Amino acid sequence: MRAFADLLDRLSLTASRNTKLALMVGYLAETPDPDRGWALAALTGELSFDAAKPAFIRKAAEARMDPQLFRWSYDYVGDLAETVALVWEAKPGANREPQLSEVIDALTSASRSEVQRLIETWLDALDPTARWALLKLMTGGLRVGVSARLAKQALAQLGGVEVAEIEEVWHGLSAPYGDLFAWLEGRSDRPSAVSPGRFRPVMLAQAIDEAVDFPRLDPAAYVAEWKWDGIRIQAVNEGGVRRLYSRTGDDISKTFPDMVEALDFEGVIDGELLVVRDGALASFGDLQQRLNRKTVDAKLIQTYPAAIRAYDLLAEGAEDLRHLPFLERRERLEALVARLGSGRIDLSPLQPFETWEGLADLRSDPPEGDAQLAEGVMLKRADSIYEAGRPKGPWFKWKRDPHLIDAVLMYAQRGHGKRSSFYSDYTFGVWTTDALGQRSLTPVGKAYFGFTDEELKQIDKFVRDNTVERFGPVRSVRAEPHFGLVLEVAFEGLQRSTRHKSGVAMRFPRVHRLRWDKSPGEADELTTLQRMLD
Amino acid sequence: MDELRPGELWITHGREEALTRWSQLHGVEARALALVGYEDEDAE
Amino acid sequence: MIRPEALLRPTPAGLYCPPGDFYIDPVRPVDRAVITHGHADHARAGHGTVLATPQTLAIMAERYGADFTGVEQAGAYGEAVVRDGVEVTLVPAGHVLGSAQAVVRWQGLTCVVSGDYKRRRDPTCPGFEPVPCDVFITEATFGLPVFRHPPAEQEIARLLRSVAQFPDRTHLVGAYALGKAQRVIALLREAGWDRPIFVHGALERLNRLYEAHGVALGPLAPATSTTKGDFASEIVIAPPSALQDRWSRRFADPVTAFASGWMRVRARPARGAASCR
Repeated sequence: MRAFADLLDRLSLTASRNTKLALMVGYLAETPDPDRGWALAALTGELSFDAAKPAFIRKAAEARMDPQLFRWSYDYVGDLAETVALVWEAKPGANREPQLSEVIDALTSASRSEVQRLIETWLDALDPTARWALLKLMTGGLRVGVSARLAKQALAQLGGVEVAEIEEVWHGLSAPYGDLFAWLEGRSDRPSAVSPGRFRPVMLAQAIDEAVDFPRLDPAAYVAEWKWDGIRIQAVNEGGVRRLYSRTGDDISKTFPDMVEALDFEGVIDGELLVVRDGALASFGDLQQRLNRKTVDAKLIQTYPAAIRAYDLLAEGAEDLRHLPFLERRERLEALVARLGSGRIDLSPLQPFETWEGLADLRSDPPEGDAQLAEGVMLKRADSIYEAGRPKGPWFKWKRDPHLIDAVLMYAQRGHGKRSSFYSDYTFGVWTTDALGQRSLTPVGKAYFGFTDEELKQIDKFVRDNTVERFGPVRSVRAEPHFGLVLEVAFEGLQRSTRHKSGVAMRFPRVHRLRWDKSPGEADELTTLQRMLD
Repeated sequence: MDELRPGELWITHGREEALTRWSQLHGVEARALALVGYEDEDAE
Repeated sequence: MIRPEALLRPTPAGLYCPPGDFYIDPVRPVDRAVITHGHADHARAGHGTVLATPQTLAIMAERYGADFTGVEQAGAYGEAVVRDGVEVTLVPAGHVLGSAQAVVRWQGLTCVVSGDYKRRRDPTCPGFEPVPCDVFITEATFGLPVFRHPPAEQEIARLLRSVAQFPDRTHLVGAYALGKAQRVIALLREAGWDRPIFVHGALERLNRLYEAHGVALGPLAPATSTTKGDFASEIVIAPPSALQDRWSRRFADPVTAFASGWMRVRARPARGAASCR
């Protein structure tokens, strides 16, 4: 338990991804089975215990101390596991610290009343950090800033293999992963990936470099289709197991039960999850209403009906198609979608073109209908096999040019982690004119990337030299018609918003260029943005 | 406090309610003075 | 017996002793002050007379200049000083160099004004001495039971483990200029860290003062960019405010730690922006 607690503690106190990786690799290399396997399961969110309820923990704490003092402490700390870990008064005694695997065994097999008794003996035996780790483990949600993906990267580093290889076998494995570690340490063969309903690592496209790539690519070797603006998913129905995965392999089936129900095929489809209403594609904003929801109700499903637009077929029945050329897979996909005849799963249509110029025209001026909402086009070599990762050459994405506006820097806020000594989060505004002809700036968005390190230093200096007021970590800066900093802001789309004073909300805004050459008075008007809405 | 067992406990500043509560529970008479001008931490 | 309120009472300027006509740690300038320790909110300049330990007087002179008070009156630990019939004894509080509890005795009544104190061991000052009393006067900054600080030696061991695990990075420790910084340094020495420790300029004067009062801190060097490359594998100590400012940019991929009582509570990140250990 001590090593696991130490790991969680240090993970929770660092924001650096590389440090987290190093900490995890170190732990996995040094900790014996089965403890490290259970730790891995905890980090990847694969553990949950019905017998351990937060109410038990609270009750146990209140039995040991004054409930009023406990309540004040809880109010102050704001997190139950942490409060109890800090206030627990251990009874001096000879309790032995439990092993992580011992805790897991007990939590999975013991009755509720036994668990309640065990909690107390464990808390008595552990130090505050280990108490915190134990309680986090029991209540679920470690919140130490480690995604399942990052944990898999640590495994890949440990074994000197590609992450895709880990992902390929992952869904066939279960905690405490003895066979996985045996493979990664060269003590046995790779575990079997055959597990119905598992995730297949996704193939991704490179961004095209127009100047370099087009001259050397043969348009006849590629096919094109729209790059739809939803979320990339993998829909699996295998041996009765239905799953919907995000492109990183997170199981999102529970968020989209309506979609899972519609997976009436045998195989694995790669596609885009979208909201489609009365046959017409809705904006990304509509899909967002359905993401990251804990509960899904009938009304939500009805208001934002999900659909899949299929790009590719990775398996049909028991047959793996990934080694086949794209066009062969495409034929199989077309036949399957046609057989399905589902209103919820359709094809992403291929877009015929002759020359790169022709494709450029299509991309910049899409026809009426769904294509207007596409993010750009995808190019796929007709003979490309389905290869996990982001291989160079077979697939390209060619996004539509972003919208650009000139805005004025109004507020700056300190960043996090490595950027905590810089003012790196910027609120920018555009001009509005009131009934009396008076011009003033209205904030329209926030951006915290898009600039180089050098530019960050320049903006940071500008902010420090031209601060008007401070509000905690935020500074307002001089933003006057003849003095201030103009930011050229790029963004992907614009939506009406009642939550923003300006009435508009930008999608994916970032700093495109610093316009030291412009005076703020020349920046855009809110009316320019409003016109983009229509 | 357990060791000192003073007749009375006076609390200058900080989490006065918590220490007052503790004193009540331990039968020590407590009084909050609510002095101002001291930092919550020796922040300097 | 007399009522304790006759001996000490709260006023807007601080705790006042009417029979002895003095204030303890007054927050405004007064004629006669007793100062428990050198932290700025307790030890202010501009009083007529200051009674404090010799170390506290030295700290005040270092910070405010030699003319910080009209008259300095040094009271060594355990030595009773009588003012208008009221006896004041300064007794170790274990907080920082020179820190004391003011034990005030009058007509058979004993009040202890503890100032700031701690019970944990601190190699830079004598430990807290409990004094039996009728009234114990204490602050309650860490009055909630969530503040149970782990032994400092354990935290130092964690720091050294991190240094060993991340030899390419600088370990930056945020510690207040008076007390915390020297305690961290002294504990690092006890734990066997004998390399030079790099310190922010704001700590230098007080470090020298500690050494002059017999607290050995070992080899120290200024953490200026010219002294030593990017400080990879080194430990650097600075006031917490400097860690979040431009000053900290000179270090190699820093790992930041705070030597502060608040930091054990991780669900309250507001106190220290990015605390990476």
